[in-house]
Amino acid sequence: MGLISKAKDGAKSSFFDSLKEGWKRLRNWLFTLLAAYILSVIQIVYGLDHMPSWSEAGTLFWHSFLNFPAFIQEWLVSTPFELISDHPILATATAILLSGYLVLVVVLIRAYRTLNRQSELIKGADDNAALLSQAGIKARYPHAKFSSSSAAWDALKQDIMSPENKFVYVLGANGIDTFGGPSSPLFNTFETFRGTVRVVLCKPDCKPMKGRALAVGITAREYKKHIQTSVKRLRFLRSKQKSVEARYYDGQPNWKLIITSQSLWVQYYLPGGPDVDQTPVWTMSMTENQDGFYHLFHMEFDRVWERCSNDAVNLN
Amino acid sequence: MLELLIVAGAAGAIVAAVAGGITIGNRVVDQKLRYEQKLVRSDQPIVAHTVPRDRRSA
Repeated sequence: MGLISKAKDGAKSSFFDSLKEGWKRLRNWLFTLLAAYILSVIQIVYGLDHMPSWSEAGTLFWHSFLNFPAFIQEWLVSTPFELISDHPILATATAILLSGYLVLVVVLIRAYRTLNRQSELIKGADDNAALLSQAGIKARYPHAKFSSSSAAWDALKQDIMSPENKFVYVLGANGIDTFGGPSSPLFNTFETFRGTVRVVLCKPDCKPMKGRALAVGITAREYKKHIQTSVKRLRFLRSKQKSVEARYYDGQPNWKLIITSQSLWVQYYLPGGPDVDQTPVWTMSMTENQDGFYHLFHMEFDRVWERCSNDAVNLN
Repeated sequence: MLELLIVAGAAGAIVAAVAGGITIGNRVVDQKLRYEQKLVRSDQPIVAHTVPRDRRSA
């Protein structure tokens, strides 16, 4: 420790010691003054013109004790009664004012406590909102079943058809319930959409396809037929001069992805079934941060797409 | 005795007014500041609330 720091510490400690000592003396002076004040009050109350002896003081206090009920009667009953009878308006106004203040103070304390409790919730909500926004989670739907309308599919169709959207990438299994079948939700949307469509489907007759057919409770032949129906639909779209590409993959289907320029649709193919339309749908928005789920799943689609570059589906 | 009755009556009225005021005031505060965390059902769609950009940056 250097000389300067020692001197600083010494000065600081002396300063605080002086303060403590000063406070002690001031406190003693205050107590002395308070005692003198109390004595003067007692002298005035009892009409004394001298300093009472201990026995005299004891007698005075004993008399005070005996007169205490009368004192109470005077201060708590007679004086308020006089105030009420002599100045009823003033008494009423004072009572209303004091009651109002009291109520206000209690209510404010309660509001303060309630708001303090809620501020904790709001702090938590901020963190949750930050997580949602960083992850890009937009919605969760309990299933993707499509009848005439469905909130999940309607939102997706809106994303696909928005003017900013340039592409739709689909990583699916057989595509029949997505765009291949005439009653599928994106059947007409793909026909209307003017951007690029890329589709990855399960390779017909490969082992994972047969496993998937078994999992959803249909024969491999039917499953293959579904794939062929979807491919036929893609060929039709290509014949309409649409920018459509498709590839087969021979792996186990895991993620079902539908990606647009701004949004992502994710479902998971549960290995033992049921059909994917019975599994929950998560939708994500594109985030500014590159670690949002949109970007991560987009990379996953690109990876599968590149991996299947040798299995392009002939759409001509 | 009359004095006592009048003063006690006035004090009672004040206490009753204060108690009533506090009760009503507390109810109003609870109602205005009530926030109940709702149970989110997983069999229903859940859509994230989007906060407009101008509010986010405020």
